[in-house]
Amino acid sequence: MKDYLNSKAAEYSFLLDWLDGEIHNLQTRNANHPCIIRCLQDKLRELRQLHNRLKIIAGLGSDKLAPRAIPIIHDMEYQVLILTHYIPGLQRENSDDIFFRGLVLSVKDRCGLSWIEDILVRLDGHHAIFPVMPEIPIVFAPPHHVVSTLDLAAIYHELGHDVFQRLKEIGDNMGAAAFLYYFNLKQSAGTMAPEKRKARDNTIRAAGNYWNMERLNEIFSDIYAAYVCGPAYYYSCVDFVIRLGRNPFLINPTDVHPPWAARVHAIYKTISVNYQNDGVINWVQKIWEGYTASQQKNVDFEMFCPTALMDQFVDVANRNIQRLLPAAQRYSDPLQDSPITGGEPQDKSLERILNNRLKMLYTDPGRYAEWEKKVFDIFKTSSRS
Amino acid sequence: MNELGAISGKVQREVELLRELNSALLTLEASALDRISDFGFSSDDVAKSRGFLLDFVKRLCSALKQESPPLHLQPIVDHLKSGMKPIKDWIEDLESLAGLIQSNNKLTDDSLAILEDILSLLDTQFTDDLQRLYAR
Repeated sequence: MKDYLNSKAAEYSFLLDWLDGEIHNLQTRNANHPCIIRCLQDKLRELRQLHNRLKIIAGLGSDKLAPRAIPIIHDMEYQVLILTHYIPGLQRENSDDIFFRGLVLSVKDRCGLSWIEDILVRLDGHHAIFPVMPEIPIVFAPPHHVVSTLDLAAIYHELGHDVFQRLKEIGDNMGAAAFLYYFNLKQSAGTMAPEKRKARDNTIRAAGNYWNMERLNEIFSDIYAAYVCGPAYYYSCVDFVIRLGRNPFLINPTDVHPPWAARVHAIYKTISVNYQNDGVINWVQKIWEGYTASQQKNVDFEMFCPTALMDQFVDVANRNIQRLLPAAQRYSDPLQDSPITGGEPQDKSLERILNNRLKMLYTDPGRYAEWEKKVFDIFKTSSRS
Repeated sequence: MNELGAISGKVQREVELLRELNSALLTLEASALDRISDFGFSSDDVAKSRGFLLDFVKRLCSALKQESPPLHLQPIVDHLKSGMKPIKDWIEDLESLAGLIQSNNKLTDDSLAILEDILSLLDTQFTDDLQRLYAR
C-alpha cells in the first residue's frame, strides 16, 4: 500500500502542476471570467492540501493511517474531474457561448438566483448543468440556441438544479413530503390478511425509496421551471415527450428522471394557478391528453407517482420557492399574441419572449421563422448594448 | 435534459461529508499515534475534529431513530438498515461512541472501527456515484 500511495502522490504532483499552469494561462488570456478563475484557484488550493496529506500519509508508512489515504484519493479524483470540466470550457469558449451566457445571466435576478456570480456556457451538448459550485455553474446547451428558441425553456429546469444544490433544505422538505405520503398510505390499509399486508407494505416501501435525492431534484427543477417560466416550459416538455416518442408512464429504475406523466402533471399544476382557462393551455393540454391516451400505462405508475403525491410536491416546492427565494418572480403574464409586428417586444425578458413564442405557435405558426429571426436580432442587439 | 445536474449535485453533497469525516478521523488517529505535528494539526484541530465527530454521530443516531431521516443521510441509513447488524445495535454503538467522544477519553480501536465502517460505506456510495458521473 505504501508504494501505491507514493506512486499516486507522484502522479498527482505532476497533474496538479499541469492544472496550475492551465489555470494561470486562462487567467492571463481570458478576461471574461475573473470569478470563475478565482474559484478554480481555490479548488486547486484544496487539491494541494489533499495532496499534501496524501504525501504525509505515504511518507509515514503507518498501517493505521493508510486507510485514510483512500478517501483522499477518491476526493482528489473528483476535484480533478471538476477542474477538467471547467478548463476546456474556458479554453474553447467562443462568441456563441458568450452570447448565450449573457442570455442566461439576464434571467438570474428574476429567477431569484442572487448567488450566481458567473456562468460558463458550453454550447456543445444537450441541456444540462454542472452545479457543484452553484455560484459559477456550467450550463450545457445545444448549439442551435444561437439561432433558435426551440427547447430554450429547458434552461430554467437546469437552473432549478442549481437552486436545489444551493438550498439543501428544499431536498429535505420534498423528501419529508414523500415520506409522509407513503407513511399515511401504509397506515390506511385497514384489516387485511398478513401476507397481503406484507406484500402491500413492500410495494409502498419500494415506491417510497423510488423518491431518492436525484428524483426529488428532478421534480423540483420541473416545478421551479414552471414557476419562473410559466406555460412556455409546460409546452416545451409536452413537445419534447411527443417528438421523441417517450412513454410518459415508464418507470425506469436506472433513470433519475421520474416518468413524464408525473412531471407534466406537476408542471401543469404549477402553472394552472394562473392559466386555468387559457385557450393556449387548453390546446396544449388536449395535445397531451391525446398523446397519453395512446400510451400504455405502467402497472406501478399509480403507486410510484400518484396524483396526490405530485400535488404535495408542487405545494411543498412552491412554498419553499416563496420562502427561500423571495426574489423569484412567478410567471403570470397573460399569454399575448406575438408582439413582433414590426417593432420590438414590449418586454424583452426571455420568459416573456418564450411565452409569446408559444402563443404565436398556437395562433400563427406560419410566421415562426420570421419571428425567430427577429427575436435573435433583438437578443444580439441587447447583448451588445 | 440529462442526469448531470442531479448526479453531480448528489456527488458534491457526498464528498463534503466524506471529506469532513475522513479528515476528523485522520486528525484523531494521528493524535493517537502522536503524529499531529507531521500533518501540521494543532490541539485546536484535534478538539474541533472531536466536536465534528460527536455532532455527526449524534445526527446519524437521531436519523436512525427517525422514520424520515434527512436526505443527505438517507443512503447511509438505508445501508445500515438493510445490513445484517440490527439497527438497535447500531444505535447502541453510536450512543456509547458519542459518550466516549464527549468524555474526552482516548478513542479505542473498537470505537474507531465503527467510524471507519461508516466512512467506508460513505466512500463506497461516493465512488459508485462518481462512476455514474464518469459514465455520462
